[in-house]
Amino acid sequence: MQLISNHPNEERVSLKREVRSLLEEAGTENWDGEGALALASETVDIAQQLIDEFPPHIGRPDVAATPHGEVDFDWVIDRNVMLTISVGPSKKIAYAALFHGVRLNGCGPWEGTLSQFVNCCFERLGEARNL
Amino acid sequence: MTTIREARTLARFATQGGRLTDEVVKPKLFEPNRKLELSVFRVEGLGYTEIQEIGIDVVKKMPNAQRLHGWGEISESAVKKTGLRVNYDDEPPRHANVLGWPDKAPERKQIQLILASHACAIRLNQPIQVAE
Repeated sequence: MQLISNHPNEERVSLKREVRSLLEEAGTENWDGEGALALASETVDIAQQLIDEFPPHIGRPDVAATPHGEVDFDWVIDRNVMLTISVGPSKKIAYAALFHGVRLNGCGPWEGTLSQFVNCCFERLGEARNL
Repeated sequence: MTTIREARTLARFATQGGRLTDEVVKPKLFEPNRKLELSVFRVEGLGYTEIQEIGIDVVKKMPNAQRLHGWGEISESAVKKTGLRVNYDDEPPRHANVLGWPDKAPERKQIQLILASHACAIRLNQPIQVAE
């Protein structure tokens, strides 16, 4: 997993560019050949705002569009530590995490900052990365 | 490599890079499509080469896929423990759909994480180019 911490601003710019490029792949209906929803540019806008909320110590996530019109950010440390955060057409932020058997999930509206709960997930993710 | 799986085992083929590493299957590999179906194949009793051949056929039939990168294997029992069910339609042979996914994104993604945590990653040394 690539570190964001050495060059946080450059990494953020790079990640935002990667998110924007998802529109080329997933910006039309049925882009996966299985009836996928088109990814909306408004969803990408929020996904780019989300990136500014990622702390530098958690590493660069995998980024992908989903068949449900979402942008997913996935951090996978190993099979016991994983976190997914996504934003979809409803503009809600959904998250799910697995920390050594502890399962957490939820969602909430995007209001410009991530919830305290998600930030706690980031802390646990950062701790796991440093073990 | 020849590994014969005894218990009911399901394989989910990776047609894009980054869906698995040598050690882990990423939760993205277990993402259902918009109809909330996850396409898998029964692979118990098969060796590595036979499973790979099924994967190549899968790539051939997918409009947007060109390469086979590997697959994730998971026991049917691990899938069912999440509350999902497996519908064996054998079209094509050994094919099944994993159904019963929650509508709500957080719950659906949670299940993807659980499946990934129980899966075994089989990553090909070199992706197999199937389509031009």
